[in-house]
Amino acid sequence: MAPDEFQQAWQSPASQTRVTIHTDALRSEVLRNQQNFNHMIWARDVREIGVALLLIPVWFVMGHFMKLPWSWYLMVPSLLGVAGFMLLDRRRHPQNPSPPGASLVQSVEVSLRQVEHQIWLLRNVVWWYLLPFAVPMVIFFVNVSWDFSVRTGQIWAAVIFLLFLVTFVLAIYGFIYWINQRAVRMVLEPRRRELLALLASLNGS
Amino acid sequence: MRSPRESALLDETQQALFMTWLSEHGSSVLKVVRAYTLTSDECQDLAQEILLQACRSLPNFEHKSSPATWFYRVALNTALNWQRKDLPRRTHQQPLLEVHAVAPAASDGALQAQHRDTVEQLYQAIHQLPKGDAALVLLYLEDLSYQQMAEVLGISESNVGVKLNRAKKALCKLMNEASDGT
Repeated sequence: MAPDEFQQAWQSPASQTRVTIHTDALRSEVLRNQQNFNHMIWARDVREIGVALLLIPVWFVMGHFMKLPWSWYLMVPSLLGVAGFMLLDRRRHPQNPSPPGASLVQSVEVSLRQVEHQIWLLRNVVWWYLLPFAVPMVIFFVNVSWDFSVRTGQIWAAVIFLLFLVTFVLAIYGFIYWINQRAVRMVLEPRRRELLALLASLNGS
Repeated sequence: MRSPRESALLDETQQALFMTWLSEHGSSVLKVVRAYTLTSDECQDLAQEILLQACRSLPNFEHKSSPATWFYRVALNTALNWQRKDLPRRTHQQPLLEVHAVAPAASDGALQAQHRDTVEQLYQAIHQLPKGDAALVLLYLEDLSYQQMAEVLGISESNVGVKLNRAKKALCKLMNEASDGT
């Protein structure tokens, strides 16, 4: 068969369908869909940025009432820094989908940019998320262990206590890093390859 | 500038326009849906998603392209970004649309049956094509001009020509293999 015959069959009455739309249901669903989307964006920002900001007064209150050393407060700039970074990143790289009426190439390019940015974020999670929290935490543990050894004279007990805490933190952070890299490998990289292939097939490269 | 909430709602005129366009192009949109899905549940889900996206983006339609081109863009963009894992979110949703087959004229039943078989084979073949080629083949089968295809895909007309030739060859090969196999 020739392509023209395919066209003929495709456009024949046999392959035509009639669509009945439930207008009221569609209208309420469009509104619900939009509200859900706005709520999702709002909830995400509150969850990721709000929690970091909320922790700051909690940190001060805990430090004051538990009479914790100065190193406890090193976490505050980290919380501010991470929340600020997330806020800036959301503004500079909004994850909104491309307009549905955009051309296919434009839509794929937008999706590709978003996926590549997500990959960049997760690959660099050590620098903008893990390290800013891990460094003040380790300094605090060293500070507490040092105070303990000075107060009691038990240097080895302090060293073991410190090693235990640092190992615990490293294990937790290692696990978070592994989860993030797994998401890159299993989800984002395949999606990126798929989009690149689609873009290449459309652009002819 | 209207808020997202306001822009999500169509006024009476837009609603009437949307319904008119849908009656004209709904059948073509459903063909896009079938080309990118495997089961009837997925088909219903993607069709509803396209309908929602079209409804949402209609207030931003600037009449720079024809309604047909715009509908294809919305349908193809949504289909290509649609993930099967999104399926459960539609389970509690009231159906937004019903699809009815158009009854063929009784006089040319044999020809229509042959066309139906060919169309089924075409869907099978399109499922096997790369997504970009599938989009191009769909637009070709719908008899869009090179200019309209270029508008929908966002590539040059000459590029459409080159790619369409290649896609048609791939389609013919798959259709011949299917014919040989039956």
